Amino acid sequence: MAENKNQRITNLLPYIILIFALISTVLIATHIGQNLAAEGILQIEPTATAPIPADGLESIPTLPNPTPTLPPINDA
Amino acid sequence: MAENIKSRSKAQSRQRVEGILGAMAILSLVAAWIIGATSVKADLMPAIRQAMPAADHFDEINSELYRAWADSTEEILLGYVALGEANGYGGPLTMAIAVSPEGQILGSAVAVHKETPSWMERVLDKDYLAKLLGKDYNDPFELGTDLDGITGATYTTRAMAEATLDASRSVAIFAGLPVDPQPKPRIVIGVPEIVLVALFAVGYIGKRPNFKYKKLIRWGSMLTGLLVLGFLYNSPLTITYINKLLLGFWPQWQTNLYYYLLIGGIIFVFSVDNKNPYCEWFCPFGAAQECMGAFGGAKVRSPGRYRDFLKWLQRGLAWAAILLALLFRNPGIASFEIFGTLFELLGSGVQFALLGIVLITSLFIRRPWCTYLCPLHPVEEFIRMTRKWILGLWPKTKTNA
Repeated sequence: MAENKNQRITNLLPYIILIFALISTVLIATHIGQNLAAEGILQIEPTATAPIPADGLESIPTLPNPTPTLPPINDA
Repeated sequence: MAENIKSRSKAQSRQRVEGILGAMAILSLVAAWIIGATSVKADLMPAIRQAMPAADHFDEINSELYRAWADSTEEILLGYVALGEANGYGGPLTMAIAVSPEGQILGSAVAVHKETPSWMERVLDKDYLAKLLGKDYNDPFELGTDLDGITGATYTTRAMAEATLDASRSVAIFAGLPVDPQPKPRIVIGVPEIVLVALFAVGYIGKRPNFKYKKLIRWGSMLTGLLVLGFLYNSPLTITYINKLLLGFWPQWQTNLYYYLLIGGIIFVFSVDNKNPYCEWFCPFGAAQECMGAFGGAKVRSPGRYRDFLKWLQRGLAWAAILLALLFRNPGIASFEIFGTLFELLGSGVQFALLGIVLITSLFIRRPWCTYLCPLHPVEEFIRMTRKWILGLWPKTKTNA
């Protein structure tokens, strides 16, 4: 039973090592990118998004104010 | 028999591919060096303005010295701004120094530097530049006596002080002020240099075949490396050292003896003995991983069928770190070691995350950083390969002669 468990762990080890190396590589690449950005070599453009209003709510599109023109009242 | 032939031809073809890729890597590094060396130089004017913001305009005396005028009619001379250079941790560091006509330092700014960004930030955050203000061109500018250094950034602060002195003296000479003869640089030998030489000696003795106390001596050497070269002085070998060597940014030997002892010692032992005296014996980060491994019972684990992929991944990382350094003529720009993160607790969130992953993995896999990520391992492989190649040429030359 214990041998089986050990065998299973041994079988998993290459995957664990691979995941370790891949995650580390992603972190290293991010770090190098940050260094290049700090030096002004790499420019990280912020994603273009619509400006969020100060109250944090999405702005509601304003509809044109309907100003009905009433016919002049003829008092006469 | 057929299987033997098959595996031999497979090994040969793999060797051929490795040779081609290795040659391509070397060629790309040579190209990066040439491109970096011929690229446009940085604009120094912003730093000159920053050193003396009160100036209306500057009038160039030569490429390293400027007069600063207070008005457009050039009636009031505020002083001079000079550029001074010295070697920092990562390479040449240029400072713009504003000096009064009487030779007193009025302002300063870092014009060009090759230091690791987080290290430079640390120096600037501690307002080190302000400590230089009010000093005179005849002051000694020595760390520890005339100026306080910043722990963990000694090379950077020393270079800033030397560049400032260089600039202020050039102004004084130009202005005809009495300048004391510059004292010869003192040879700096401290604890790290002495410990380093001792560790090389211990490694040499410990590596002798059939040495009785090898295991004990090795642990002693590793723990000394961890405490002294790691936690006390944070001076492990990094890819930045190699890049500095390749870029020709060789620091003044008198004040950087440690650098020459470390690089020279490793190259010497390699060429004579074909053994790496550093990594397995006193690399502070290797020792930290082994200490973790001792707690967790770490063993050498095989990555199985991913071995080749991981080997090339590590080589790729090292290649990228060297290529970017040569291309941008900045030795530390792509250095990704996490030694300072452990020994000085300094680094970005990404570096701390990486350190955490490496230390946890070290609990059950022996030296995962050294085996799969460290950029110095491929450099070691390259030195071994070159040595073998040179030794292979030797008998032929002898026969021809």
